[in-house]
Amino acid sequence: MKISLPSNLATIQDLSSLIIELHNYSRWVDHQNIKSKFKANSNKDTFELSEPSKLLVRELGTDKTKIQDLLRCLEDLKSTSNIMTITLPTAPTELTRELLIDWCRKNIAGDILFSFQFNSNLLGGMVLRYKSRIFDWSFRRRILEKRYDFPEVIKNV
Amino acid sequence: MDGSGLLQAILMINVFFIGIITAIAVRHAYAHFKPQNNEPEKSHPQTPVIHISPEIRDKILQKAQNNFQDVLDRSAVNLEHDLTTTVNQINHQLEKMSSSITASEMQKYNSSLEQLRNQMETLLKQAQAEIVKHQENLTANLNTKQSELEQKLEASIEAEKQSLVQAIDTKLADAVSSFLIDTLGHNVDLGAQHSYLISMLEEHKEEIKKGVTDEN
Repeated sequence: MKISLPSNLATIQDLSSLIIELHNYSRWVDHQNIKSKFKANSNKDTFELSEPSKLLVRELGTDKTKIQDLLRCLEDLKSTSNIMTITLPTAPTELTRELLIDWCRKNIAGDILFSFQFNSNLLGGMVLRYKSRIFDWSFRRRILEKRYDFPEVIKNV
Repeated sequence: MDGSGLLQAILMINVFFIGIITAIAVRHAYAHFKPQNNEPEKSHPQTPVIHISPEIRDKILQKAQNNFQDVLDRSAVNLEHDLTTTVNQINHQLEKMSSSITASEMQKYNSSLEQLRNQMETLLKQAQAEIVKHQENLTANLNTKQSELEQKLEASIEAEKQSLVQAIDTKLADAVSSFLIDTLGHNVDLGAQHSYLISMLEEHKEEIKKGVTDEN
């Protein structure tokens, strides 16, 4: 089963909470099915899903089997998750997070998870780390890389 | 045979001839004053005896004595003349010989002196050439050494200069970068950096893909 992760499902914690939520939802669906089987009044019980869960469950409805399949997929994803760490100079806003996640899932891998960190020493830009690979596009690194050009610039001035 | 040896030989010959002449003169004188009577007696045994008066005999004797004295005087004069001539000739020969020997010796001396002078000149020239060559070598070595030292000194100065410039640049770069980092470390607006972030991602898309693929 192929799933498309929404942009607001970014971190491993998000995935864990989603799995827990879907487990609860699965149990709730079971209860609802039992109640409907015995014609019990189930209109009063509602299950509030989070936004990512809603997006995933929307097409599944209350089909227990599909929900279980989804849970298995999510568990597999969690166990074999590829986490990309993005370090930014400040805590990222929701917009920034979504922008980066969307781009990465669209261009790199659809099932990739993220871990966001911030480090004010970066000044700007970002640092991408995937396992042992690090892509440093921070302003600090650029400044340090180009610091030997400052004397030339000053001389030219 | 040198000049003095020749001169001695000539003198000895002259003395020999003088000795012979003297011996002949003495023999004649002896024969004249003491004649031998046996031979005429033997050779003329049958000649008749002539009786000569004592006056005539004395006259004849006186005359013979005078004649002999004349002959002796003339012989002495001749001998003296010959001796003088011989002495003159010997002197002349001696002078000639001495001048010849002197000239020869002088020539030899001059030639040997000239040879020595030439040898000395040759040696002097060789020594001068050696000295000049040595000086040239010394000068060349000194120039080479000087140029090497100058080059080393220049290189050392240049290296020191570069080192100082590098140190100043490093300090300056560190100062500027520290200043920028300290100054820009606050009030970062990530919203303004969205385009930069996306452009970086787009720019390195293939690199990131490759990295992710390799790591998986």
